Amino acid sequence: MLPEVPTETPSRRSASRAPSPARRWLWRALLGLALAWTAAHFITLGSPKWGPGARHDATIFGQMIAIAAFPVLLLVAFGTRSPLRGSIIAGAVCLVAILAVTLRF
Amino acid sequence: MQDTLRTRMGWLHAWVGFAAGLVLFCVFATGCLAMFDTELTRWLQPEVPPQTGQFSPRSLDHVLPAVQDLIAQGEKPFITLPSVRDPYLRLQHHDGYEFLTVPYNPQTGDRLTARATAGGTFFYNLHYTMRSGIYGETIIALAGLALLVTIGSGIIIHLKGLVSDLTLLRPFAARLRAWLDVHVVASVPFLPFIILMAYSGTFIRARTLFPPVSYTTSIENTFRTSVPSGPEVPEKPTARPVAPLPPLAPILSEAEQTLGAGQVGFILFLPQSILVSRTDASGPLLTREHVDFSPIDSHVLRHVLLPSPITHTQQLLDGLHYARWTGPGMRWLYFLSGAMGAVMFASGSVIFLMKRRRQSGHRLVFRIAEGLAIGSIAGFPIATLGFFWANRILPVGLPDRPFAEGHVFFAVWALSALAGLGWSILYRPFQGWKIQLCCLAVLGLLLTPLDVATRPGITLFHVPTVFAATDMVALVLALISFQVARRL
Repeated sequence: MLPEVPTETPSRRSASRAPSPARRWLWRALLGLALAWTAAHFITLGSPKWGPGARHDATIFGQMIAIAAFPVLLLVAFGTRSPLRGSIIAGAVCLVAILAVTLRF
Repeated sequence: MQDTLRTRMGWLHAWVGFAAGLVLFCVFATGCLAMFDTELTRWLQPEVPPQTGQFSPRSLDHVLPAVQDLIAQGEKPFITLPSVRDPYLRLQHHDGYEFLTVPYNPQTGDRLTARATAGGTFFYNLHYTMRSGIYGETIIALAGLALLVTIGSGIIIHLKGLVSDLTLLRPFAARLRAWLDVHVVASVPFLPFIILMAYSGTFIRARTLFPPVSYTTSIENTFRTSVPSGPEVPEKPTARPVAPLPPLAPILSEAEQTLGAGQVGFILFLPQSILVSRTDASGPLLTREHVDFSPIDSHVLRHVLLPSPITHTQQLLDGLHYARWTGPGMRWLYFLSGAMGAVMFASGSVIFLMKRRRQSGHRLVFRIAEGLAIGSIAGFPIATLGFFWANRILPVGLPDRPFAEGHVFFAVWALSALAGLGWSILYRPFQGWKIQLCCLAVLGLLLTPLDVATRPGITLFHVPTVFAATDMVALVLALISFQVARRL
């Protein structure tokens, strides 16, 4: 006697038609890119305010941090299991960088 | 496809790596060549004798009339002093595309008769601008950022098997497996070098991506400088009378009291000052410390040295990237590491195409991608060898000879890319790869006979070895490309 196949179980054919996550990953990558780029830009922009010494030195320091931070933030925003968690981490860094530019201290 | 960290990173690694990889292949290849730009200039000017006399500061004054001519044309010329790498005085200026160089005898100051050439600095300029000015710099800086992302995702993918994969090289395994082994073996041992180059290279051009002002202001400034509000500015500055320059020997002597004996690298002539700058070979810090003199009465205007810790860090990054302070051994190590970087991009691009050929091989986008890969991976070395061939074949008296060499380079590259695209679109990519790799092998193999046939005063055992080294590298490249064409 053949076992009964429940109707909810996806057949091999329908499983092969499962949508590829590539489209979702593309959006995640674009979001990560936007967040990482914004953070890096505002880190450079704000560095004369919080950076060391002369404006020239502070700008260089900001660019050093921005270039190191960009790939890390993009990978964090894209790589975490939950898309929301990665975006929140990168977004928080972004927000701090923006606040460092806009707030007067 | 499962949604795991490894698959996500694999997807990012593949797409970002392929998109930037074709540009980065050329950047790493030109970086390798730029490592020996001075030596390549000597190969490209074979009339210049290999040995010369000791440097005499009085010889500088014999170069001054030529300097004044260039200043009158609105250029900013500079004289590079003799060094261990290059025993000649050289008068140089940047024509908007590349540094043009004229050699002078360091003892007498007499101009040496040598063919005009774009020289080894052609590859240096190509390395960071692709001869497209600020746009090229921006594209390459973007590619540098993409490389950092690709490296990060690649490390995450291979984290578990990083060490075990290193010991695996199976050149006779299935093609995909073999290419993957090549990719890992070419990248993992050289990761510190590649990360250093990616970070420092992107940092050097950071102002193009992350300017210290908002993008709106930055764009406004760009338009403000490119569109003058006043009357139209002529493209070429008109010739203007230039006051006679003071003797350079006393200036050099006074500058050496500040910079140290034998520490002067070059003398730059600006409208308001003469800059005597420290040699880049003085140490790992690329300080560009300089003493400025008045061009009227040669009194000291100022001494410029940026001593802060941040500036020192920047100078160290610059110094490590340019590696002008290193000896020949370290330069060869840089060359090998850069070449392995280029192999990493080439093998990565090949893997990307192989993995998608079955599913997407019929699509036009795939065909174009493969055509571009052929044009980049095979076409760029062909164009490079074409440049060397043009240097020896073009008539010595040809007007605008340096431009002609550059035009040959780009024409060969464009032809190669078009041929690659054609073969790929006609569903014969393997034929495209094979033909171009065979062309590369032939050009490389025949470079030595060409060098022997066209170099004046050739001897079997000669000093220096720049000719032998260049010919040997071309020969090795030819043998490798022949073997790859055979195995395709």
